[in-house]
Amino acid sequence: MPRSADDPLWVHVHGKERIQVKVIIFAYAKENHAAPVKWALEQGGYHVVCWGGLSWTEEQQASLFLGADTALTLGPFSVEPGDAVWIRRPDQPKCHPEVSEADRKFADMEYRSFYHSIAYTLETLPVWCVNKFSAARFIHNKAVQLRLARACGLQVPRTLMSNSPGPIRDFLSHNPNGSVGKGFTPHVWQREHEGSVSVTETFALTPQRLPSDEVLTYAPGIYQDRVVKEFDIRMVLMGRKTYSFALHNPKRALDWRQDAGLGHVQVEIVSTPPEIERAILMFAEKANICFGSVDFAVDKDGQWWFLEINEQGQFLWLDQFNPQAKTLEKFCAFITAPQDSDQPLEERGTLFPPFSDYMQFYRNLPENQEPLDVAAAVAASPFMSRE
Amino acid sequence: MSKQDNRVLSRQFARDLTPQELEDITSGFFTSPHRDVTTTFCTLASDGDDD
Repeated sequence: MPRSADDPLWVHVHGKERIQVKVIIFAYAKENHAAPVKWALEQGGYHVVCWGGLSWTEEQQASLFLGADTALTLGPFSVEPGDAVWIRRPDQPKCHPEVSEADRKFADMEYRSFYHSIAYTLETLPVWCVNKFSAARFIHNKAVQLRLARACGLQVPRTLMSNSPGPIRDFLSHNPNGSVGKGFTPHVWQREHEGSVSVTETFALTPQRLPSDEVLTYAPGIYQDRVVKEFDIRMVLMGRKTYSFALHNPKRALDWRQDAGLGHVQVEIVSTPPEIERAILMFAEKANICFGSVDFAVDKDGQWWFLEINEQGQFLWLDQFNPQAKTLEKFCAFITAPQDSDQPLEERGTLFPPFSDYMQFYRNLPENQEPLDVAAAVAASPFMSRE
Repeated sequence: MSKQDNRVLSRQFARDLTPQELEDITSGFFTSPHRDVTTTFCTLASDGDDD
């Protein structure tokens, strides 16, 4: 990350030319974290562009030139030395809808391969990636997460990942404190003609609640010792800093996510215990990531149990629940920080407006006055189905 | 086998949201302005693609 410590907005290239560095966000411009971060960075004077991912449209086309120099163009802009690239949530590579059906599989694979070429090549360029694509793919794996967490000294519930009925039944029957089940990926089912939905979440399991063996082979699952928890923790990792938030759910549900969506969860700023912070920083180093959202469960003895990490997890909702969280300001400070800067993110964060200011801005946008089309979202998302 | 018996385990234990709960969730910031339904439903903790 060859960025000048004197002036993070500008960088010298080859010792002479000065160019303005920019933040490139891999996400469509209305993505719910890209939009506020772009807005806040621009308020702080930064140049920010969004690229929705590789597709056939002009703004999502890309060119990667490999010669004496390497040049990468994403839609209307070029990737320059010193840029910060936030690989937030780009669309899946998408081929032209008019391509012949006979060629569609080939075109899909070509788009996918080209996107991977772009994403991996970024790691070899003098830009800063949050996170590196290779690291993101690696740490996306839940089994890898649990193994690394344990190796770094974190407490991790015993876990079985399986589609084999015998080991699943055996795991549950040897667990006196109870077990939970969860999926590898989230999913939403929208019921036809009803207007209601069903959403995956972590659920309590006993041997008696298991269905037939055949059903256990319909989809692999994650089976885990149940942590009898007092509350949950959402931690946000930014570089060498961790910010932890206790999530208090009056319903004391196993899974706080939907209750958070319904506004039932209270967010409290808490200190990260030193031994937990050391372990997470070691984890980040081993995983080669600099950013992520980490979930813990805290038991009655105050022990923190690692549950999972999402290297592009949600964090701005914390500001909505507790304005003192200030994760928007901290993230803007983090992604624009000069290399090796030791200035606290809290201090640099004052360059940027709070999330509440963004909320006022977006509420006045005319496109936000329309109701949400859930059916259209279901049709477009790989994580949603009809039933 | 009944219609429900052949559903995957995660669906059998999925949380049902009523139309009112659905409306409450989708009127929040993390869906309403940005049309990112999956994010709010599924991903305060874990989401993203596996590509």
